[in-house]
Amino acid sequence: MNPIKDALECYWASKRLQRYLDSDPDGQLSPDEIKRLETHVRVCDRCSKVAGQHRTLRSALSKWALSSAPSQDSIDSLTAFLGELETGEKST
Amino acid sequence: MDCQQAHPGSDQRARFRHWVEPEIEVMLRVAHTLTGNKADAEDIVQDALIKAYAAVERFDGAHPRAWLLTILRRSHLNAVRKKVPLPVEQPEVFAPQSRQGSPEQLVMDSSMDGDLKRAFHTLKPAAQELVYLVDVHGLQYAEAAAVLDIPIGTVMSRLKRSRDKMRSQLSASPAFVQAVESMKS
Repeated sequence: MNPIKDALECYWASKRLQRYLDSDPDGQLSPDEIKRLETHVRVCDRCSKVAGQHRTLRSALSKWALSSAPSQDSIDSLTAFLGELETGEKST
Repeated sequence: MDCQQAHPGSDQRARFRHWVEPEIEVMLRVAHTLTGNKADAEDIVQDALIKAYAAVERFDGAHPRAWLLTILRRSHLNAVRKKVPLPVEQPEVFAPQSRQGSPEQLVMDSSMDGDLKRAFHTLKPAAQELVYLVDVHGLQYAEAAAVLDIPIGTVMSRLKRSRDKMRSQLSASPAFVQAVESMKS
């Protein structure tokens, strides 16, 4: 066990953890990075805990979407507006 | 703008609906975050739809959501030139939703949500806006970059700092700690 090496690995992992969890097309890690990160998170209690906290945070924030959803009336109204645009009946 | 002056051909019309209709909900969500209220949100989405329709012949069909959100941002900028902008949408104003679960779970959810809101409000407005777009509305990095007119690298670094700050704040919340443990099992 090498504390300095471990700390450097934690630092490396911390720079990539959120991109790994997001799986965004513009933030993808390489297969080697994914393998290295997953291996580290499995054996590192601290990084495993941080990963769990991020997953919980993301899950909690995503629930706000339920209470901020637009009304069906708004969606229907704008969908109808699309139809008006297409038929050229509406001008502003 | 007069729609009839820039009326695309029938192919473009068909594609326009195909591209735009599935994105109306996310446009409304983002517009609400940008404007802070329903009426202004609908106004800027409507304005963005008109502009998108006029420009559809120049659109190559790739990434319609990012294209529409870029137009939406411009519509929002035009709107705020006319009046003082409202702050980012505040979660407190949302209508309460019916929740399901045991009484203990409801108490923990409520406590967790309060702690989450407090952590969220420690962020600067620009950071709140970004977290809302990505973590609440589910936008991808490129889509959030288009809405906020910032580079994707800035999206990633700002998100990381913001989430780390919230996570740090929440690590002192018993409800959050319990939620983390629950997710493990």
